[in-house]
Amino acid sequence: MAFFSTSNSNQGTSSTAATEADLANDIVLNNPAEDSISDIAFSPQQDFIFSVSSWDGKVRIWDVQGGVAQGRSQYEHAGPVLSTRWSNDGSKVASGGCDNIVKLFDVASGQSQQIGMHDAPVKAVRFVNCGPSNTECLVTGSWDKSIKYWDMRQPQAISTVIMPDRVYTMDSKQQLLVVGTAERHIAIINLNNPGSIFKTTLSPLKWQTRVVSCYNEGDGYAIGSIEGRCAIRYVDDEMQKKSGFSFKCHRQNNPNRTAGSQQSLVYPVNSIAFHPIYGTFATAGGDGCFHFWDKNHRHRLKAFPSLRSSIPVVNFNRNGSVFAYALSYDWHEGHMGNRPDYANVIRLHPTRDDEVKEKKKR
Amino acid sequence: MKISRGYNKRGRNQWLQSRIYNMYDNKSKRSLTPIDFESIENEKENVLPLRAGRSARGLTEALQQSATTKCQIRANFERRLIDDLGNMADPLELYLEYIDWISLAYPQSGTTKKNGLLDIVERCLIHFKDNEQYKNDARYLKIWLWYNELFFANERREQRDIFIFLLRMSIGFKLTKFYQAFSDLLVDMKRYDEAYQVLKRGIENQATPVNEMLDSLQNFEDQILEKRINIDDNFSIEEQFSEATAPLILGRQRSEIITPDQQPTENDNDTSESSKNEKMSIFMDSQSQGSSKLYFYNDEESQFMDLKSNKTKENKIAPVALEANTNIGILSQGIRPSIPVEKAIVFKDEIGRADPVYEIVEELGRKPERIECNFKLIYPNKIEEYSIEEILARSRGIYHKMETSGRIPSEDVEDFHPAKRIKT
Repeated sequence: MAFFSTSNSNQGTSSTAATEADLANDIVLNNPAEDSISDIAFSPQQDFIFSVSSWDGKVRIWDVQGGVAQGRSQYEHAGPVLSTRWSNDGSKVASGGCDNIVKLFDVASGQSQQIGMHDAPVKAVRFVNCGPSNTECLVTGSWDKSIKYWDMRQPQAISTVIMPDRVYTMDSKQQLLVVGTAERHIAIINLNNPGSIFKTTLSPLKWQTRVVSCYNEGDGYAIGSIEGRCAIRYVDDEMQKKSGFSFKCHRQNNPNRTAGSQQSLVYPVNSIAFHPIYGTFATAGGDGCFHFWDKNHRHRLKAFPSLRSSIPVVNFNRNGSVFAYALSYDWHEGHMGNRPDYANVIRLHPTRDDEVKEKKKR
Repeated sequence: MKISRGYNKRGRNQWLQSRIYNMYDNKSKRSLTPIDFESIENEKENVLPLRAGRSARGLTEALQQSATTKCQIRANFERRLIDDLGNMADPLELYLEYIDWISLAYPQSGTTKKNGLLDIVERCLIHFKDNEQYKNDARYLKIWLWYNELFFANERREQRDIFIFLLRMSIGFKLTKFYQAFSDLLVDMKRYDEAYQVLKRGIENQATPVNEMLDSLQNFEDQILEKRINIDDNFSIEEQFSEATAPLILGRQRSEIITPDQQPTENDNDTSESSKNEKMSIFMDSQSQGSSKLYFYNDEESQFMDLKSNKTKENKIAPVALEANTNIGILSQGIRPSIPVEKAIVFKDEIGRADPVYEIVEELGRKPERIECNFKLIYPNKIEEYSIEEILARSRGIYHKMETSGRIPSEDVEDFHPAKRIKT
């Protein structure tokens, strides 16, 4: 990571509150897209290549090797793109969007092809290894209240699983696939048996589910909701009783209130990403902040200041050395909150161990 | 028995207060009845703190004294001022006594109109300003300094003018105190050159106590050195004080703004017109030469000192005598003839910005939370919810209605179209 400038004198601060100076070395991609950014995914084979999907209907592949962002390639959907992911070998990028179509892009050849279709916009795509044979396939979740598995060769889905409601978010690690839908349903699928729902529960959070993200161990998942709360959940009931909890985040004290009243401003939790090595995680919200947390010790590792622009999505690269976050309007206030000058920016933050590594108990 | 409140600044008028409580200490020896603190307790917020504190007994007495008694005492003083002043060897003493009594009898405030302190102080100052006997009397100078501090607390320019006046009248020119106070003010105003010259003048005039004078010059030089301020040694205060005090109006000389011949005529026309509107009338001096009396810089006028009330005459409403046996009828309360005015058009956002884009969620036993999400869009009714992405997709008309559900009314979709224009 030599190309991240290391002149920063703040290296090694132990405080949990970071300042903007801690973000000074970030690589900034101004205008990586022409509209709000919906998803960021890193290649599993390369440290500095990532794809970005946007509401402008395009998926772009960026390379920041050398510290300068270069667009590698891009392809288009017929509508806004809502999700993008890389195949395990790093050769293909999948995406789904409001044109209801699932596309697969071959990085080497630069060709994109339609590999599947839903009845409604595709909200989330993930590559998973299913079944006892561990075959790699693509799973897509849609507002048509279903998830579909694709083997990427046939136009028909291998399997379709009906969900309790529209799929809002989906994530997978190892053999665990978790789907968050409207009306706060959570569907858990064991990928050894991908064709059926292993268990459905209700989100413990009071309001709409915004994001789910699975632990590296594949034994549980975190839920973020629109009302500034995160729930840490485990699939196993015993484990859930012992270690499950929920906490508040992405809140600010309301500056316009008189001192006596204690009202906090609450922002939606837009994105949760787990560090691929350390298992700590980052949350990002409509308040423009992102924080690093340690769920096992139940504390915050690092809090970053607000960047005055909501963060719709964050992600780590394959070894967690780079943390990418997008700054663009996440539409949490509807179109009233939008401004014509709302910038679309992606920033890449070089992570330090004191930010993302869990601290040993003294 | 003193009630004192903290003061850190040097007490310029300490002598005055020390006189006050000395006087009352004598009294307290006379009467041994316990002091009624109750009356102080009720009034303590209203008592103006003095540097040297106050006598508790004096305070209780003052607070219990009726207005009639006070009037009697005041009348007594006034009579003595007329009758005895000419016969006294030290007439200043009488004034001091009077001033002492006022500041004691009216503990509420030193500067309100009721106690007439300003009036008596100014009378005293003017009375003795040409008196050779008191030119270098510390007591007289201290009344000046006190007057300056009390009535011109935040008007440094005025304070400086008064000091310049004193300098011209050579009041206190042999007293170190004068030069110290003057230079302190000038330092406050960051006029270091002038301050330096004033202190030097004090040394030239052999102001007493001489050592203190030398000390203050030394201190000043140390200060200057510390702050690294350059002092112009050849600076002449004579010039500065005669020119700089010539009043600048918005940074320009008065003569540049008003030419004497055009001013009165224009003024006349204006008043007749403006009186129709009954708006604020703007004060203008009738004669340009009359107004220059305010200032101390002309030689023939240097003898004249304007009273404070005269300086602030612009702020007064002239009293009008009521005619006897007239009935002016019912006073109309603030009803003005309505003038048709074109009102400015207030812009109203048609997009519906008036709707709150947040939801306040209150739960028993918890802080209210203000969720920065547009709940009207997320939860359009009790049975539905939509994610932010769905709302955005709908607003762009790309949310394909599912044939089976039909949950989204089509007119709703049109409502969201404006966003399309904002964000493309």
